[in-house]
Amino acid sequence: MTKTSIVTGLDTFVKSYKSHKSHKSQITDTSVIMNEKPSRLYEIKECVGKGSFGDVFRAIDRQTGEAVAIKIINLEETQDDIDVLAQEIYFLSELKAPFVTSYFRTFVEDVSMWIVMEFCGGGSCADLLKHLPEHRLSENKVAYIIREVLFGLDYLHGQKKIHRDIKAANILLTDDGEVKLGDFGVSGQIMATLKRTTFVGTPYWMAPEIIAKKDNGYNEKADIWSLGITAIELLTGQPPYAKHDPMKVLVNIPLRKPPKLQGRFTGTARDFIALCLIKDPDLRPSAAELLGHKFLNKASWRGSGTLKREVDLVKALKKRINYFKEPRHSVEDNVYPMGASIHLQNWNFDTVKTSTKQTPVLSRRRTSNDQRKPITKLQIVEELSPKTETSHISAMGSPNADTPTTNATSPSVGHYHHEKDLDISMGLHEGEAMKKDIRHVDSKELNYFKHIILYSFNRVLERARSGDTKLDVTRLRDIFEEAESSQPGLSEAFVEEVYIRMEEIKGYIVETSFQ
Amino acid sequence: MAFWWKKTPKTASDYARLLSEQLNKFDNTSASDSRRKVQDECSKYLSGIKHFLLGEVEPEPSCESVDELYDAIYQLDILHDLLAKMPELEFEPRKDVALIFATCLRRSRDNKFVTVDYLVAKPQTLSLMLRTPELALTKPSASDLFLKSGSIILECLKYEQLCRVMLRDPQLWVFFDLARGGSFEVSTESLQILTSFFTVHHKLVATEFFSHQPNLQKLIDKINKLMAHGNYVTKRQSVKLLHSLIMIRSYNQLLTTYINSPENLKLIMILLSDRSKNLQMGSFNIFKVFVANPRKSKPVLDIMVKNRDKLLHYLACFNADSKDTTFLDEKEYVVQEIESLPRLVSPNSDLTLGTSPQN
Repeated sequence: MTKTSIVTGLDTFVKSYKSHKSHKSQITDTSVIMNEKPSRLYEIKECVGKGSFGDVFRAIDRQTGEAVAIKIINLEETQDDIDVLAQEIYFLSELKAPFVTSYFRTFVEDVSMWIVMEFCGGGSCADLLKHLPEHRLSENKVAYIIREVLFGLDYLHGQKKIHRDIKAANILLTDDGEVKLGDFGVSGQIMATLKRTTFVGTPYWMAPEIIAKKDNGYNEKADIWSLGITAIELLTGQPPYAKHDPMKVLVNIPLRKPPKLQGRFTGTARDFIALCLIKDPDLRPSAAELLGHKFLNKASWRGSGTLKREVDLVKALKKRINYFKEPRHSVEDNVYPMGASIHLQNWNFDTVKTSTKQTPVLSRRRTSNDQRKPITKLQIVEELSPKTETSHISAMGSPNADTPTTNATSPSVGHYHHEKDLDISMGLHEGEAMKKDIRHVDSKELNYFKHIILYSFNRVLERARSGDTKLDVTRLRDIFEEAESSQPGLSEAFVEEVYIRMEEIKGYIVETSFQ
Repeated sequence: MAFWWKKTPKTASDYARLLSEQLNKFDNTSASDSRRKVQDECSKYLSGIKHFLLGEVEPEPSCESVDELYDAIYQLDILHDLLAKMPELEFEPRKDVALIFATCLRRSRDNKFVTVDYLVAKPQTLSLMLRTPELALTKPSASDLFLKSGSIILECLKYEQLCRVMLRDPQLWVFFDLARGGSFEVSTESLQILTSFFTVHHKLVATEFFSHQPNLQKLIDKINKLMAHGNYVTKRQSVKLLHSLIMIRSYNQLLTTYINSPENLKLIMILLSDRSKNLQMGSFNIFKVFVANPRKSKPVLDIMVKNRDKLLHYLACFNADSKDTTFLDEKEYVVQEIESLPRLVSPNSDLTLGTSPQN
């Protein structure tokens, strides 16, 4: 099979597969089988975050006009295995609860994955800390956030799942100031008795048992520790030891006593955080147990409610300073540009027939079987092409022939049609004697200068009638010989080039003559 | 959810019986109200069974009562009915179904996997299991159903005895089609299922599957189709699958068959020249095996000889800035091998070739 037939085989295959699919009319959920281009379905707006595994953009669903968040992961660039990313997607698709960001669907466009999720217009709690003038939140606001996160964690942990990266940056807010747990980039699934052993998270928020890597691993209680650290972060503006080097902090967390909430805070807040930061995970309370803690009652205090006011304030601030995030990867850069071949190299897979459109073979193996077929092919080409008639005129020995001018070695397409002085291809019609000669030359003995260049020059010399022409041809031949001896291999390259060019022209002629 | 268990003082097997009854009601219930009620009942019993099997009820269930529940599950064919009625269930209970399957499969007694033995004797359940993902695509919320039913198959394939039965089912070939034509979830999970089928139990696959010659060729054809016509993700995953297959020692027959076919070499070379770096690297790992083969078939050798210069030219800049020493060594080896191929120029040169008249 030639390369072109592989390609056409592909087309017909795709067509038949598509028609096969359309016959299956019982398939109702088209999203499962259709691979639409996501860029046609969604209009990408600004970058809203640089997540642990790709940039996140706000986008508009072109059909409904609704805002969605799209995480775009360039699969050529990411170090993550596709299998691992697929696991993350399965993980996300198992979460359906009001306290966690919903997953919608995933597409592949060019070499990127587009993960379409619920859009949280209010940004993250880390955004609030960054942009609010006081850079921290009041106890009742924090109680509200923590309570909502605990609902989310209770749901997650009930599914035997661990978030593993709880921190203000991963607690998202809707436009209405509602709290949603987001970024499950490092989340893991624990089986009934199985504990996790992978080392993930962000140092300042990491539970001691994750860092210590004890034999028995860790479980969902690690999220509770991180939640305690997050509470400190929300109340004071940063996690404990934030000014220290993260690697040093990492070493110190398992060694030191748990951090405490410093400053003027209520006893219930201190107590709540102390419970979250119990070093022994078995003694640390669960999400369900913490939901009964007094600190969370503050969430329903007068004047608390959602974080709508803070969200609106931060939005206005961001607008004023024209705040935007620069994505790490450009959405437009495609590995497979429109209209370009998806391949960087064309191989030569011809066996017998030479496709007229293709650049001819350079290094065809010369086997005795191979030899005859190309000849017949070429003969057919000769006969079909308009050139045929003129090419039969043999200048040699013809009294009517014009004075030969030896421009035959630089054939351009136009020239080729009108060239009458010399007939380069006449060797084809020379008869038996020629073929006998050829048989004596096998590939090992083939000397490009002697067997092709010199031979051709001598033939031309025979055809030249005037003394001047003979002289010029001889001079050219001698120059060639000189060049070959100072640059061995020149003849070979030259012959190759002439050959390629001739093939191209022949191909062109065949093509045009069939039109 | 666990507290309902305490409130209803019935034996463990009663819950299996109640679940079974409710599952069978789906067939005769069309009104949406009563349907909803059946769904709710099923959710309740499924959640209860899950917590019971996981030992998450107070007081912890006795061994006898757990055994009783398992026996009831087997006797009432609950696993079969769960598969059949999975599309009728809601989102959360479907997750419970998958978890109950996984938990049941892990159950061992006297060094025997009881549920595994049970399923081996129930080929119709396994057959239904293999068909559930495809059927899921005809339902609403197809993607979710597909992932759940696929995850059950993945659990089963961990056990050699179940893999043996499932390998005999021609339905396994359908996952190749699903891997090519599906959404991201459908295509990646189909490939994971295929990977589990062929890369977990080597001996079994070598002696009972590849020993049947048509299987070998069909597998090659199917993987080639994925590599040639899949989307970017499918291509990458199927190249990876093929590479791991030919690297498995007991699949020597597959390796030899693969690397002796010129058609396969063509495909791998086409992928080698793909614009994607990852596809290039993936196919290089297969291409090098073609090159390293000391007994290349003539058609394979012909392709390499014909493309000798192009290959050398292409490989010269191929992943040149890599710092992976293993790769660089392998590349050097491949380049050397290709350089040592006979260099032949000018096909059809017999046209212009002749002994010089001076000779």
